[in-house]
Amino acid sequence: MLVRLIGLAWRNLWRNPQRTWLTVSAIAFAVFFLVFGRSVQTGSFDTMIDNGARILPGHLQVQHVKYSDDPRVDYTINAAPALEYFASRDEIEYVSARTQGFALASMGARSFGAQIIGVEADTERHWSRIASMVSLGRYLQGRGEAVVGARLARNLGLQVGDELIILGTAKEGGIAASSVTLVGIFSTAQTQLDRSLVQIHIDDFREAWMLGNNEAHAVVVMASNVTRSEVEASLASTQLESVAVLAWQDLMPQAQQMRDMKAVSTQLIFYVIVIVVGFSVVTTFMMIVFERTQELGVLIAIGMKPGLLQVQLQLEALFLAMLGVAIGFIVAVLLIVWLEETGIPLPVEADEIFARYNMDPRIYPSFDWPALQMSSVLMFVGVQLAALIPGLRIQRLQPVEAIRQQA
Amino acid sequence: MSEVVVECTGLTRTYDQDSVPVYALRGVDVSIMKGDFVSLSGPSGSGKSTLLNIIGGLDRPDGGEVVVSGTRLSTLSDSALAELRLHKIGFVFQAFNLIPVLSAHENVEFILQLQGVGSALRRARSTAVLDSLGLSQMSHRRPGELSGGQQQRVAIARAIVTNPALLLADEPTANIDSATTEELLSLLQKLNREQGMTIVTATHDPMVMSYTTRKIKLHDGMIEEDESAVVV
Repeated sequence: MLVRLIGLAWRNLWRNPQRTWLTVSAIAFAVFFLVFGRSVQTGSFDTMIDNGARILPGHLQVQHVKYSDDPRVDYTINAAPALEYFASRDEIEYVSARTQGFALASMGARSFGAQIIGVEADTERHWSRIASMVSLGRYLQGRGEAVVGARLARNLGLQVGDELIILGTAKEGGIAASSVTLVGIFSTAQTQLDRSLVQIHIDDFREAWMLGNNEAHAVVVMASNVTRSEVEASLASTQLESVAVLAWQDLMPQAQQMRDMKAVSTQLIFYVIVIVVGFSVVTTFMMIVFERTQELGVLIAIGMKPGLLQVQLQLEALFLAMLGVAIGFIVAVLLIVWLEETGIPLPVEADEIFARYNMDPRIYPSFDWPALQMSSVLMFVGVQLAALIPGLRIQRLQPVEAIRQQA
Repeated sequence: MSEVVVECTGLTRTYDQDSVPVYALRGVDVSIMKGDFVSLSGPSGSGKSTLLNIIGGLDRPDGGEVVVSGTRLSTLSDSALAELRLHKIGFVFQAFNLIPVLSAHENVEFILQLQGVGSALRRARSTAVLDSLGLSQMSHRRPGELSGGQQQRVAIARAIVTNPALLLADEPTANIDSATTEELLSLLQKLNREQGMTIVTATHDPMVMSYTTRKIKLHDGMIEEDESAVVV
């Protein structure tokens, strides 16, 4: 019987092809919007997070377990195991050690508090936006050199080629002192960084702060993409002992909060779309039941139980949902696959800002499987519920009145 | 003594039309025997379709009782009534009312599927019925591809394929021409004579009445005449 009902339901759909295609289009549009919208959103979040990570923190960091809460110069780790571990991972693009501390940066009579970061310049130049944001001079190439933020350079009256004196508190209370030559000035558009950040060679830092050869405050890691970095952070936390592994969510909590808030608002929009599509499906099935009232009355008269008619209606709804979900999914996937390569260009104004900071002025959608699962489930359940409502009319149908209706 | 297929006692039925009661049946008593070929006739509003619907369990009387093949209909739920119609009563409607998306063969087979008959037996029975009604050549056609007369023959095939105890036909010739009407009436007569099928038909058409073996005339919801005739 089920086979006959399936066949009947499929044929019934094509009694009014225009209406069927209209309803299928509404479902397909909703699925397309859900999948494509979420993929673009995921892609833009990934781009935002990646851009943020490339300015300074990286995708993930390995630190002393106490350093995140209390960034004391004493809280160092032996960088070698973490460097070795990440160097062996295929999905890791760059890994390097960093040291960092707070000090006075002086030029002549002027002094300002600064955050001094010792970097492995040869590695960081490949991924760090600081390297590409040097607007005057060049990035670090070797020892005895420094790059500083534009505002700090202005405050200190520094120019490329000047000597910069750094004075801080070294490990175990000693004095950290270093004299470096300014080789570059960078502008990140982030006031805090431009006002206080100084990068020097990691060995200069170790020497001044009296740290050992493998000692570091962080091992900074860049993975092939943001999603992969989450996996790598999770894996590393099980593999590396006595250290803290901080994922991008820990390093950039504001980005995580922003992503969560956007996700909630987007979710609401998606629910509204599902409700609108649900109403369209209810209308379709109301019309179907109304148009077929006489036929339904005859079927009840010859002995078909209303429950079976309801099953047939639900099967028609199932076919509509299957067609709509399949079409919406295929169109969304084709577009996403294409845009994953070409990207979606941002408006001209944004384009200029991104270009200034050497960031890619395009959004690359990132296929969002959970969005497909969610939209499919929402559509299948929503359409079935929508078909139930007109089905209540079938349950109440009196065959005599139904047969008379259009006779 | 002949077996009683339908026993109606004191049937009354009133409809509300714009808050005005319309008395469709006012105490109808009638018994229909196995093998009867009955016509229910009378002017519009005389109650013939109401009586047919109540006998078929499609409508419920306000008063009185109907017994079909020994089953008191008033004791049955809607679901049990549907079950009774499926197994014991065949219906032929004025507007044919075939399922438009199914072929003639599928329309006939469908009711056997509802009964849960296995596929081989289903196929054999529906093919045999369609053959007997001269429809084997057009069994694959959908209703839209058949003439009115052919559609009504398919509707009769659908009604008799389950070997019902009772065949009810509501104005079965109203939508077909006179030549096809004669052809269909001969067919119903053949079913009645050769298979002993009990047939009750509501009609205005004198030609239909001329084929029936018992003529019940209704007027204002009551039986005015009930005569048996010897068909030549």
